[in-house]
Amino acid sequence: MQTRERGGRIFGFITAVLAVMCSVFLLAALPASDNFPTNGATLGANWTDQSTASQFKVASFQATHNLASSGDAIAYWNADAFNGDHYSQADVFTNGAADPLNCGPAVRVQSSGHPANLYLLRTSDGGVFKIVTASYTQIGSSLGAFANGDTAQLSITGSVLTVSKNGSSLGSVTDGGASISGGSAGLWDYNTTGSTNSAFDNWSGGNVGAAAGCTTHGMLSSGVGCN
Amino acid sequence: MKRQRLLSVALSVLFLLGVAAQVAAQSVRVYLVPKTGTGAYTDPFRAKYFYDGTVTPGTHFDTLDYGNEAIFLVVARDISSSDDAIVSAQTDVLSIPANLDNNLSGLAVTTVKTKAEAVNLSADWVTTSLTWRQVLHTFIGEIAIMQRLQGLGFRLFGGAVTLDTTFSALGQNVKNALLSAAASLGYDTSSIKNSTTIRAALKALADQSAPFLIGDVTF
Repeated sequence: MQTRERGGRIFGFITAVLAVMCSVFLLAALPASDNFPTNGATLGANWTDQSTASQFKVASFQATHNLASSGDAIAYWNADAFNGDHYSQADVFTNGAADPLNCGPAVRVQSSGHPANLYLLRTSDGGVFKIVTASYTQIGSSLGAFANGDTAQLSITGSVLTVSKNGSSLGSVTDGGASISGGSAGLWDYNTTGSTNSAFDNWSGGNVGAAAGCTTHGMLSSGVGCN
Repeated sequence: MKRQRLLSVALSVLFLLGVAAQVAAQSVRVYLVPKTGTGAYTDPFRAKYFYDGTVTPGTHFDTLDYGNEAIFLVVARDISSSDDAIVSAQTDVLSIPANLDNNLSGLAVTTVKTKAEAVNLSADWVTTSLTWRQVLHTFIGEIAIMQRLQGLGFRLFGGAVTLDTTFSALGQNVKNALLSAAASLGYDTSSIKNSTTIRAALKALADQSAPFLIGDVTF
């Protein structure tokens, strides 16, 4: 009888522990992801727009620029809080052979300002830029162009920004004091007048370095971003 | 058999000489160069000479802007000796010698002070007792503060504010932003008094910075 009671208690304890672990797992939302399943005038409730005049929309189940005029489209994932060191990743598309990939993932997107302060990757040449008080500054050398359909990732650790293409690192550049010290993972797109819009699909974002197997650049060997 | 061994040794020596020559031809170099551009997407702020074809495309370099000021510190990781010669010959460039662990000469001290302070980089403390690496460490520390200040939306210099301006003469919002920028980098700001000049404050704060790793170089 005692043995059966003890067994029951142990079973109950294990069940409770498993329940807690499952709850923790379910609550740990990062890495976040979005494949833009609903076409519409915005990216949806999980995104905050920090653009100037333009913004993102979802068309053909891809995130793309909303306006035909020139300007920035900037948005960040608002459903989760990111550590200072995080990554943003998405597949990039030209949606037109002549359209350059003036778009890319963004990190440390601030929640104020139009445009917000942020670091961005321009996938047409692998250039890393920062926007601070509405001015663009290029940080270091361009690290290599992306092609239609490539997976582009920008991650930041401290002041080191690392660019990866299809899971392989193209290299890093350093912003000495890290002008921008916190924010969220997001997306950036610059539309030039008359161009067709470049677009994103299969976005994901998460923190760098928390999961086993992550390098300081926030990449697993499989190319999946680290949480 | 002996001839084969000799041939093998000769080939190894030739290979090593080739590698050495390649290493000598491409090295890490540091420069202070002017800022170009308007800040627009189509004309971003950039380090002069590094994006206009003067330096061979494909060269890998890091560029650190001095916040809103008119210069960049560039760490070129694999610049060719010919490109280095072209950049170093520019009159608006301060080219740092390849050996960062040598002390500055008297002439170099004068040049560094003149060129650095002309762009509001505190440098009156530079002496011949310092190595180039030590000088660059403090410069990058100053750059870090100014970048963080810029990120907060403030510019320190401009108008009547110079390196000789005292802390008390700054606007209250700029004072707060400077202290906040320094604190966010983990610096102790207790040494900054109302009578402290910007020159002295930048030096005191920058000296607290941990070593910087940029590319493969520690400053």
